[in-house]
Amino acid sequence: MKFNKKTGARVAATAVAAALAMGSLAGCAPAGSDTFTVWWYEKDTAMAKTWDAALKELGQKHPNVKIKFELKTWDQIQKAGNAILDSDKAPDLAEWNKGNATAGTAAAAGLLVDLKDYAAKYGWDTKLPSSAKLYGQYDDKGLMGSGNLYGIPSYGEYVSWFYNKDLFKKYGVEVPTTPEELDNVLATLKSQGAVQAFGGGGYQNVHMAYALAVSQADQQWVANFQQFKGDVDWSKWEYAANKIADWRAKGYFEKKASGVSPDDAVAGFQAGKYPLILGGTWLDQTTADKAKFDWGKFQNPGTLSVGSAGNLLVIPSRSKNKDLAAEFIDLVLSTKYQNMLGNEGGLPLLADQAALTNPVTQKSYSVFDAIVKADGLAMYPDWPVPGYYDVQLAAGTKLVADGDAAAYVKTIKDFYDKGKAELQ
Amino acid sequence: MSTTTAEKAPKKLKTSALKPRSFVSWVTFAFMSVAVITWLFPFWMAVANAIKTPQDFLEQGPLAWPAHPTFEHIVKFWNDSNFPLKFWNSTWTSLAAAAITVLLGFLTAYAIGIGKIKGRTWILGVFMVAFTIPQEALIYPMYNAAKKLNLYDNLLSIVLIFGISGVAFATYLISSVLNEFPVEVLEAAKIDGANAWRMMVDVVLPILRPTLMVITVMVFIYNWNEFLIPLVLLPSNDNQTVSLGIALTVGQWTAEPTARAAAALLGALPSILFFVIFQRSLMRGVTMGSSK
Amino acid sequence: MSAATVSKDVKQKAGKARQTSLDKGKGQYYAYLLPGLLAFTIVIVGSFLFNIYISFTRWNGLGAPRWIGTKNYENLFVDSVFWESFLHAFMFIGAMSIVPTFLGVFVASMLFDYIAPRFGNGAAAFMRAGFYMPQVIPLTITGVIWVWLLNPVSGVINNFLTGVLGINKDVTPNWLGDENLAIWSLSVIMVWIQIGYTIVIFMSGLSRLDPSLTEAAQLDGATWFQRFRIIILAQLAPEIGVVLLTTMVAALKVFAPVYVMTGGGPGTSTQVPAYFSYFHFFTTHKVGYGAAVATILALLLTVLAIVILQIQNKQQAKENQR
Repeated sequence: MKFNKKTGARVAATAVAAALAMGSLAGCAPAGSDTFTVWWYEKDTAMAKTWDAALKELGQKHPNVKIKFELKTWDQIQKAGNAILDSDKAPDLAEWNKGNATAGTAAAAGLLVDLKDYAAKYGWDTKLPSSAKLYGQYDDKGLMGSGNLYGIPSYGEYVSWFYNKDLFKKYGVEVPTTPEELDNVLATLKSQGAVQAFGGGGYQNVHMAYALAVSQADQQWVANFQQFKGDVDWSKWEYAANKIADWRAKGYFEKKASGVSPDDAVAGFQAGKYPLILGGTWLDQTTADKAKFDWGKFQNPGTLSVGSAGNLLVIPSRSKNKDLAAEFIDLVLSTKYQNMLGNEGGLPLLADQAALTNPVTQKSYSVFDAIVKADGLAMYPDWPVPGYYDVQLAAGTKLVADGDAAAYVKTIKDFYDKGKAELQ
Repeated sequence: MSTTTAEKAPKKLKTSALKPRSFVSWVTFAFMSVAVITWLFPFWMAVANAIKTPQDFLEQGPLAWPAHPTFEHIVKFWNDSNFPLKFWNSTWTSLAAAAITVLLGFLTAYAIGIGKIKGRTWILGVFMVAFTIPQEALIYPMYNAAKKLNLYDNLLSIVLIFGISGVAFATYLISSVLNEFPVEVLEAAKIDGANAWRMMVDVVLPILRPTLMVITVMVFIYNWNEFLIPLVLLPSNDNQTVSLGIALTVGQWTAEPTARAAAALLGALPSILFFVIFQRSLMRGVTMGSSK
Repeated sequence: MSAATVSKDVKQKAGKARQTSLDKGKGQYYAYLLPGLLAFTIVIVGSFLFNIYISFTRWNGLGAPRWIGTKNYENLFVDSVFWESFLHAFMFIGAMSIVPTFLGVFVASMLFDYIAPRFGNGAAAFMRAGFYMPQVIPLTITGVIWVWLLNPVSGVINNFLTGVLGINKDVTPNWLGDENLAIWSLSVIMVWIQIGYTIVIFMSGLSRLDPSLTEAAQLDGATWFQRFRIIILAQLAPEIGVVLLTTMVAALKVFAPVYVMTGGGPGTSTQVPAYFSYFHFFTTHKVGYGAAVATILALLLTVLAIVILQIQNKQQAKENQR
């Protein structure tokens, strides 16, 4: 092609013009009540399937509305969620991470709709048990647990041990009921060359540390740590860090666990290579699908467990379709969809127990039920201060790699103290 | 010759003038070849494992060439991540931004290199310093402005930012080339009564065309590979660029090593193809700023 | 008036007329400067200045920033992670600047001066392209590829060690998960990325060398290595300067590889200033704090650039005097 200066200028001009046209067109996306933008980050889980179905029903009820769904990642919301809420690109409805660090800061900044009126209209206030509702409540400083209702939880989740029943039989160990028994189980397994699956390079190390810490704690401790109700007793964290260092020294998990991602560890467990793994209820359905062995779950021995009401459904203040969003939330909370959630393998809050036929749910639900009845949910460790997750993750990876328990506790204590001072 | 008079032609050897190859030289050649192969090894691995079935991966491991090659991972990732859209986003924004950069850079460099306006050393100095400013020192104000101007999550914002960010670099390069522009040609044009505009369009631009093409190629690739600015300014999936999208969605869609390799391969392929096609331009551009 | 003075007078007037017409010409060039300079000033300089302002405030991105003077800087001074991040940035200078420059000069002259004359330009160009390939792909994709390669269990490197070299799989390194090893793994990857750039620049620099110098040296019986030391290194001084400068700047700015591969961990062993700044901008929402880190980084880079340029100018002056 003969490229002389005239064509060159023309090409350049066209390119710039095209760019401007594209850009401005993109900015002119149909905003207004005829599009309903929804975000969540559930993929292949029971929640994803249930909400998909509820979204379809909403679409059928409102045929003139274009429903636009976007799959996000937990990481995206954790790292930069508030940035999006504060722009006109905020969705009409979203799944949001609960806790001070995410929903809390958003609520305090006025980025989420106070659901008071919708709650009264649809009766959410009375439907939701108060122990679940508190996860959606934030005060004017953004601290979770009391105040206006900004988000609606629709399911529960908790972290416990998944175990391979066949391998347990093979190695001659039983489900432990105390922390000492758990240590013995790990020792017996190790003596026969088996170790737990452990994604020490990812979120699993965060959950492991907290699970061990709260296994020694009570609800007052949780209130102190999560809601700043009092001074934190760091000896529980020291127990956890020392335990992980101990397990590392004794070889109860792979030497290179700090380089293993949770995805890899989970895949290994589901392939039958490891006898047990500490995991969350989000793994229930995929384990049921993939595991070719008999499996079960048991609570981490001790007092409390990592767990909470599930992620929140929130209505951003900049939502252009608040009524539709509220309608969707109500659908999700309805018995029809709560039952569906249960039968898809999830942990509903408001389901009709008798209608739950899925054996996986029954496996998970019995453990969950026991924990809830004992008021044993301790929430998640990264909630109290913004950015805590990244710090715990990095420190945890290091702990798994070098076993320096004192350094771990110091890092997370310093960051917590700094963050707490700024929030109060 | 298609090079400007300002560039020196690289010395080329005629094949008949090749020196004799001793044993030592063959050893050296082998050594260098091994070095190059080692350097390209990661790409080779990405290719081999992207077309491997999980079964083959389990049996053969990652090093072997697959026994039963398949494209299904690549196809799956292509569809799941909406790769064509991301490719399109990357391409048109990089191109538009490159056009802006070269256009503005050329105009500015013209004033500096040919017009030799007063204060030009100061301006070039500021541009050179701007070179070194890290994006982190600019990103929050840009993010803030984008939100206020309604350009958040809008690809136009990165076109503008990339386009203008590159002006310093382009101006610097082009003006150093223009500094060596033959004065006689300019004088002759002036005597013919040409004003600045005519001189630029009729005299300078035709001669500078190849240089501008080279700089466009360079800036295009640079924009294509950008990460921080798209990360901050483009939250929605549909607006992501390839560089951003692959990095973010890898955890989402893949849990198997073979699928991850497919994602990495798709992410690298456009750049590699582009490089192969535009190699000469790119090499010329990279060296342009270094030889004074 | 004599004829001589008359003609001198006319000559002067004519000279002045030509002068003013040239001067009149100069004014019109300012218009060409305007669009680029204006856009640049508003977008780049404006942002930079605003960022400096933010670094003196306390702000979470919403509402208005609150002036707190130098508090952010004072807090940074005692923040050990801040200092660590710069330590790592300087380590990356070694990995991205010093090592690739030295290796690059060596490889470039190998290719240009040894391979090309014996095996043809095609072979040399092909090898150069091969080394340059890592420069072409986005840094994030590089990160994705290497995370995959370095996976301690399923990754290619460790499989190579156990499968081909027969090393026990319990002893194979935990490349990105060991906090003593991670920064070194990243550094090696940086060398892998950066060397192509230096090779390309140096090969081009070599092409402007006067071949008669090297031929004369060869006739005198100098070996390749002697030629390398005495002639090539001296002649390449300006290129070496430019390469050191640009790679040092790049090393201090590293962001994408850390984001994709380690997130600054394990612990803080791969934390870098750019990522640290981003973390405070968008995750902890301590925008003023992040802005302070970014400002310090910018200042450091500017000083570095000026110092190296001064050194270069002095060298250039010395050369011109010879």
